[in-house]
Amino acid sequence: MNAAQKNLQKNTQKNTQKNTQKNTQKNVAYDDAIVRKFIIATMAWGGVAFFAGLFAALQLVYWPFNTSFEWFSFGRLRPLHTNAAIFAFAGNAIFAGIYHSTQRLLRTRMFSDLLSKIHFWGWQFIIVFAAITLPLGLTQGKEYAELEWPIDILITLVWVVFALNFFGTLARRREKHMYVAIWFYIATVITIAVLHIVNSISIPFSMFKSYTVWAGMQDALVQWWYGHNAVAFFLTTPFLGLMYYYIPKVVNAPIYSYRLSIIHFWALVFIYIWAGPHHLLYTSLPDWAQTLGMVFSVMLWAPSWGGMINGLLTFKGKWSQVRTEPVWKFFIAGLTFYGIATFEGPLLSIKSVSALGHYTEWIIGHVHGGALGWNGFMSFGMIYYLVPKLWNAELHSKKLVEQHFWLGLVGILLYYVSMLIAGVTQGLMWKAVDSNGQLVYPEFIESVVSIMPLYWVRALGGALYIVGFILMIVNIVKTIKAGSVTADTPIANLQSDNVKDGKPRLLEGYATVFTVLSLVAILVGTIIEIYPTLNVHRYVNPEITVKPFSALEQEGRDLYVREGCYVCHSQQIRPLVDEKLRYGDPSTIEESIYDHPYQWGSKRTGPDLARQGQKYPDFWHYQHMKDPRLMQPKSIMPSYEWLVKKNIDYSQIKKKLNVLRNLGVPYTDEQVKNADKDAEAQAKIIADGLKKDGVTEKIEGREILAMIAYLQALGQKGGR
Amino acid sequence: MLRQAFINFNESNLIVFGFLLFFLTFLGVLIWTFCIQKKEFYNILSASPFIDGEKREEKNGEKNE
Repeated sequence: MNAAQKNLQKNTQKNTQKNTQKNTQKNVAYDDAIVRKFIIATMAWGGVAFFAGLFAALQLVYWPFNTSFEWFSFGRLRPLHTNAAIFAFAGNAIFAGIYHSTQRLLRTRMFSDLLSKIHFWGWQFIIVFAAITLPLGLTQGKEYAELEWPIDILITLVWVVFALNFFGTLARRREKHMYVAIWFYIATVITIAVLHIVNSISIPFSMFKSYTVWAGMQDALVQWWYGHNAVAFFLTTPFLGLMYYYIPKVVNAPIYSYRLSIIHFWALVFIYIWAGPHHLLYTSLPDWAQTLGMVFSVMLWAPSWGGMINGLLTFKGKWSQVRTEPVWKFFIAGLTFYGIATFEGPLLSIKSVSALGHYTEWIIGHVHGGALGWNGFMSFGMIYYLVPKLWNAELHSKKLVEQHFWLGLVGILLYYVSMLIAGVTQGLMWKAVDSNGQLVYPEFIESVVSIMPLYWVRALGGALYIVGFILMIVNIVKTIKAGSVTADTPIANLQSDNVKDGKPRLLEGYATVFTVLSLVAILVGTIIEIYPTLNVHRYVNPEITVKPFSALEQEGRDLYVREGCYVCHSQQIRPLVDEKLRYGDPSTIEESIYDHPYQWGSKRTGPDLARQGQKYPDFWHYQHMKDPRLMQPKSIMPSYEWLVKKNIDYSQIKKKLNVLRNLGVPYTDEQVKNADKDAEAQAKIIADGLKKDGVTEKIEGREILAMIAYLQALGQKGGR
Repeated sequence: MLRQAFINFNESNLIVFGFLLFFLTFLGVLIWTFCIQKKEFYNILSASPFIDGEKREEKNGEKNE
């Protein structure tokens, strides 16, 4: 045997030995590698989400931060920030926790290592695609559901992989009865699938663009049924599952009341799904649906606080240790922020409070109290708990954890309090009416200027939170470097398998029945709420006619969606005195009946635009889009110079109108056939008018013309 | 077909129906949890986070069960 042959034999033997070891380990140990991967991804994407958020906050205090690059304008960056925070940071954190705790609670390895890897890498690819497409303006224009149809399909596939892996693990568990954390994971897996599929149904007209099948009020209701429950079932139920597992682990004591956790689960899952319409109070959504959403939102107080109290009371008798255990502080503060957010959410859902708070910065403060405090702190606590265990090392520095906690806490408080004050200030200024029945602050910009110092405080709060996060990264990297990855953790009591012990099972022992019951709990509310969308014509006055947008206006509408204008401008006037005085007649259900997607918005960093059409001449819009400061010196809106430089893509217009016609927009054959020519002709008329007004630049065929056409059409298509 | 099923369904009935369903579910869960299930069963379930074989940590002289 020569040296090469000897080497080959040696390598084969080594590989066989390694594989045998690996296979044996697979059967007797938990898969910790996948948990480590998700933890690292959480920290990496957390950085992206937080820095994008800080950058967006700075753009609001100093508009030149929008830069002249279209990819970094606020309207495109904000969806990137929210998607990164929700799906990249929080998403990876919950997957880390679910993969770690599920295996241990069921005393079995995940169903398939391959599915775990596909899930991990598939999810990271989705995030990368989102990070590329959102700055490019490829968006569906629906909050937290901006990603376009190919990515939506990928999300569905990856979620199915996750579900298969999760339910496969449940099927081969060694523990007969499922702990409450597993229930919350089950609710997450099935509800997110239902929400994502229903809200994302769309008809593509190109490789990367589509129109949602839902329109106007239908779209608004489906979107907020999805949007609110994305918060509920992506940012709440999985974190509650993690809470029920990790708090007993760190405290080294069972949850305070297991019975309360059962009530918490069923009440929360049943009620949450109904709460979506509280995002649409005073809009043209039918009143009964608004009331239903409001009442169920208020009812959410009870289960939410039940869960929070249950978590906090688990620390009973051990509060003195909080002083010496900085990791505990994260869990306690996280739970406290959960309590604050779930107190404030129902409060904001009360119609009279919503009249003041909706569209203001108060909502932004509320959201960040939950995201930074509840989701962020729970994730950090979990990471600090898991890393030393998974890398076999002592935490590098408890002092750094302590510093991280206090920096983060002060950061959140500055953020939250400043936005709360800013929101109430905005609400009061918008509503102020003098003794003559006139608006005290008729210029919208007055409210923007008055809250500018608070925008600075918010940016400072965000910066402190990030400094704390950087300390965590340093601490964790040093911990990992000092540790070592050896074999996976062995499965406890391998021989004991009480699933097959022959004793009777209770409900908690039937995974399929349990899953079906959870599905029924969320479907009841879903069907009752989606009901009006099936019967939209019952709410529409047949005598009121609405004309669809012309081809050029539709093109402009797509640009409006691309630039994320809906992030700062609403198109929904509520039937409130001040809104009528400021913007005009309240919006009707008919006005947006052909809007795919609806653009009612949820925030007014700038004024409502529902009646913007024909309010100003074309030249005003041209100047305003090029540089808003020319028309309003104190404006914080980004300059959209690229709209003057980029050409309208006439090649897609026919396809777009055809898809919209298939979705029920009453375009004639003639309109679809001549869409490109009609659009060109209308663009020429606008361009000629602008030239007459003194525009010297080359504007023929430029996107600015389509945007002006759309803005001038707002509120001009009938429906009243 | 679904539309037909709902065609004569008044909105206020829907709200009442929704509440009734919730309260019935809630009542069912309460009865199940407090009357039917035994406390001992829940004591066993609540110890689930500690069955993973990992050593329970001792802090500040505290003794594990």
